[in-house]
Amino acid sequence: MLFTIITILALLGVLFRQTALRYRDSQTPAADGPAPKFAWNGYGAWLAARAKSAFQFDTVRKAGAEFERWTARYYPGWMKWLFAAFVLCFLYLAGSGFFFAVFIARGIYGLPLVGHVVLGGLFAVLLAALLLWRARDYRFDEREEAVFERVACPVFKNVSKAFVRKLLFWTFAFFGLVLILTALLSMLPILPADAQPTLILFHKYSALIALLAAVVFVDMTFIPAPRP
Amino acid sequence: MRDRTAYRNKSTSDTILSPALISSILAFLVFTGASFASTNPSKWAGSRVSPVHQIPLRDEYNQLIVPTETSPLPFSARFSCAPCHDYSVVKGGWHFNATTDVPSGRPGEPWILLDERTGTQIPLSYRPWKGMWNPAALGLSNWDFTLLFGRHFPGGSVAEPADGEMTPESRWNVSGKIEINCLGCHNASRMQNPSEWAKQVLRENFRWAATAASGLGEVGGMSSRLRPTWDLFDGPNPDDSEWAVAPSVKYNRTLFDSKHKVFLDLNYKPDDARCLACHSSAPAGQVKRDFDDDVHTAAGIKCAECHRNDLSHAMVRGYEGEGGLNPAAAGEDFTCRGCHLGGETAGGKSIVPGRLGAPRPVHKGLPEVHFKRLNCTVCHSGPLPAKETPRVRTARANRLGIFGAADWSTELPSIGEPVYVRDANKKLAPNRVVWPAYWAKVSGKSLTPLKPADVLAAAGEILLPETPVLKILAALNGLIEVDGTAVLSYGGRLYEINIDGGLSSTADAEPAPKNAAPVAQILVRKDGQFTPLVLDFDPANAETAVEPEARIQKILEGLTAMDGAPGRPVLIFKGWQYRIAVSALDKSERKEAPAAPEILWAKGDQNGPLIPAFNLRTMAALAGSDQTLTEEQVELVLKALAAKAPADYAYIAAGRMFRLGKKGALEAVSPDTAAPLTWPIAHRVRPARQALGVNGCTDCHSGGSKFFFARTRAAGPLKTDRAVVRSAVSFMGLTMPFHKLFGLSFLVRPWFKVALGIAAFLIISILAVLFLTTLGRASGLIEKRR
Repeated sequence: MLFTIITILALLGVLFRQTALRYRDSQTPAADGPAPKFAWNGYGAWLAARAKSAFQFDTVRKAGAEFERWTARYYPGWMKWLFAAFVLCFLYLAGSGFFFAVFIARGIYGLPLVGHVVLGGLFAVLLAALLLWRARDYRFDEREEAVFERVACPVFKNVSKAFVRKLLFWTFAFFGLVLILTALLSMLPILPADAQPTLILFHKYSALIALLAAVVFVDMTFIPAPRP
Repeated sequence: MRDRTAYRNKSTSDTILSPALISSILAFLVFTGASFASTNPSKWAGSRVSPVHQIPLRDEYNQLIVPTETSPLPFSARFSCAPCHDYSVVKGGWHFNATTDVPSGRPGEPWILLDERTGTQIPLSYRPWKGMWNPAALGLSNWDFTLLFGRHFPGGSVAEPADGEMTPESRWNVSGKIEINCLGCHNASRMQNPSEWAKQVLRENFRWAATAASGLGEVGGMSSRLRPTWDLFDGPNPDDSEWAVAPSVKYNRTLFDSKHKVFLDLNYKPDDARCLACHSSAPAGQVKRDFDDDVHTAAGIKCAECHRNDLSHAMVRGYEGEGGLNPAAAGEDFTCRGCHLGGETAGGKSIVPGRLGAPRPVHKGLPEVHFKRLNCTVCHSGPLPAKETPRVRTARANRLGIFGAADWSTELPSIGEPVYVRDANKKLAPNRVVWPAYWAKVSGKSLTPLKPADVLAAAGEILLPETPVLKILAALNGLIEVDGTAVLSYGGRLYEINIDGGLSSTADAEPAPKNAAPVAQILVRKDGQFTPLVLDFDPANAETAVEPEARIQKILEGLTAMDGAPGRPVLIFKGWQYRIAVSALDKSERKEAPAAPEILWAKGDQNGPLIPAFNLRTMAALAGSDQTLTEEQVELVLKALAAKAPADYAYIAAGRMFRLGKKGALEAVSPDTAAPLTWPIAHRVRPARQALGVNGCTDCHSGGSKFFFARTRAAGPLKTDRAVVRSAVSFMGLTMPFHKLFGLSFLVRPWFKVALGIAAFLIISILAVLFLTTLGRASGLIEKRR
């Protein structure tokens, strides 16, 4: 129950934050005037319009084009298909996992579970492959590394979007690893049965963090900034 | 008890305190205290020692038994134990309260009404368990039930009916009632004999059964042979010391002291042998030396260590959820989970694990779902699943544990185990399964079972195919030479009369030739050699035919005198016919010239076979199998029932309902009423290293998993090719395709784990490099990039 509440609140919170930021950016500030205040009515109308547009062919086409452009740059050639498979795996894993964890008291079972296990394996292999090939693009540069130097007294002002994206990437990779390890350990005759609930708990919360990281990453990377 | 306590206390008061007022008050206070104690049967003073039971025995009239008296009565547990143990409290115990409205809880083993002749096996219970018939609904009175099942019944309940519950046709006044047989469980003496108990119950010596079984006395006579008006006070019958002998007891006087007290070696916790007398079970066909005891027994734990009770005899049955029905019994403390894992009861009470030294299981790598969906017994109890669900025989169903010259045990009813069925907690549990078989009158969708006696009366000899053979062999056995035995050879089997007067069959050493119609032939077995009943001779040669014809005359005379002979016997051989005409052998020429002597029944001008083809066919079909009915018999009996009392009849067996179609042919459908009955088992618990899954996931999760895909054939008295066959998943309420697919996925599971391991290793390495380089730069150990 606690996980259900945390999941719903976390997802709603992240979605609200990301959409609210975009809504704010879409507002045109008055010349020499203060930044416009956050208007809930305006936000609602804006959100409805954005949600409606998300189902329009033009939006899908634009997102597709953005994806094509992005993969052409970072995952050229056949690697595009690996990335696509990775994305589809993650979508199924997140969809099936959270649906059953949140809405079905029994948890995931049956064919969805078989799919979850099989695609989970594929996800693990693809995640390792993508890290091998693409990790270098998410290295922290000198300026970003300075942030870690100030870890004793962190000052995160003027953190660049690129840095946040990299952090999200590595967050996703780390919790993806936790997801893989908890699945693997639960299948090996190493830990006693009493450890199984703990492993599942770690699996679920890791999945939640990875999902939130992915949502923000996708929002920052693939969805174009609104026109002011 | 109250009287004795009050008396004792009063005496004490009188001795010590003289003032009458004080003594009266004291006596009153102590009396009320004793009264409280007697109404609180669970109260235990604290001594862990059981008292020595050197006690006087009392009969059913509460009179002291003096073993040296002439014709003493059998002892009564009700009155012998009563001074210390409240019989009315014990009567409410689990073994004696089936007819009361006590919550029934998880289904238990039914009593199975078995009649092999009519192919009847109906599960019965007085408890309202689903799928079991109430005996009363089948027209079985308390008397009938006691006679049928008293052999394995602990007494009390229906075997000890109130006067108002006695039906007119019963003979309780002759037999007496069966009181609760306290010694049946608590007697530690090795003289306690369950077989003697069964024998006495069969003889209707109900009130004598406990005395005889305990070894306290020897019981002779049979109530079943006495006239219905006989009374206990009529005593022995002076005119008959051979047949209708009234039961009597001759006590073993060496067991009694000079005050007529007897030493009873009693166990507070009964020995396992006492429980197993009624609760044994073993795989059918298994050799005794191969049978392993339950691990708990092997560890020295008695049945009663877990299946506990106090004077109320409200037994701990020890299944999950029992605590909700009987909170006082602490049943959930004694489940597998309670002892080995601990936890909480449904009522929130904490259970401390490790009772009696129960080890804590580790279950390394076992996904949690197994604990949510399976009872512990699925992996740990009963036989391991097999490709075909194996058969099991139980004491109560198959009459095991009754030893003597006669073999009491039966192959039927056919019970299978294990099938895995969901319990009230939605968890799978291993179950036994039996497929009901009975004749019924059909009215719409409801079925009313017919009593076996009614079926037999309507069916006549259809259900007795061996009767003509028995009569013929019996008639011939009296004629042939000393030590010779008449044997019927047919279809590769030999049939002969056994010691019980029934017909036994064995495989013929010379099997019948293939592709040839089976021929019935009477042979004579002498010194292990078989010879034809009539040796080959030339009937036309008057000199050589004298001796064979004398033998033929004896045979035909014997058959003529046979009870229920369907005609006059004639023997035809090489163009000659022999028959008995006015006590002499008549010989005449005939057209038929069989190469071997052939005996026929002459009815008017027609000759019929010695044994009808139907009888031979039926015997051959059933010989060597556990079944007792053929489909042909079912068809004929259904017609006979309809002819006797026109109605719609059916025979339920093998998971199907057999009825006559519009054209009179036998048709089979599968209604719910033919569905199998299952009940959960908990024992025999196997060692951990023999648990299901000890070899890994593929013990259950594989394409050919016996756990999921074992086949259970609807077994029973009917020999049929139309028996229902169900897979294990259908009992579980699961689907086969999914579990086939899921099982097949385990073929690649090892490679899957390797792939996950490699992926995890790569990711860990990359993350480690990232972490270490970042840490190195932050600490200055690695030169910063420019």
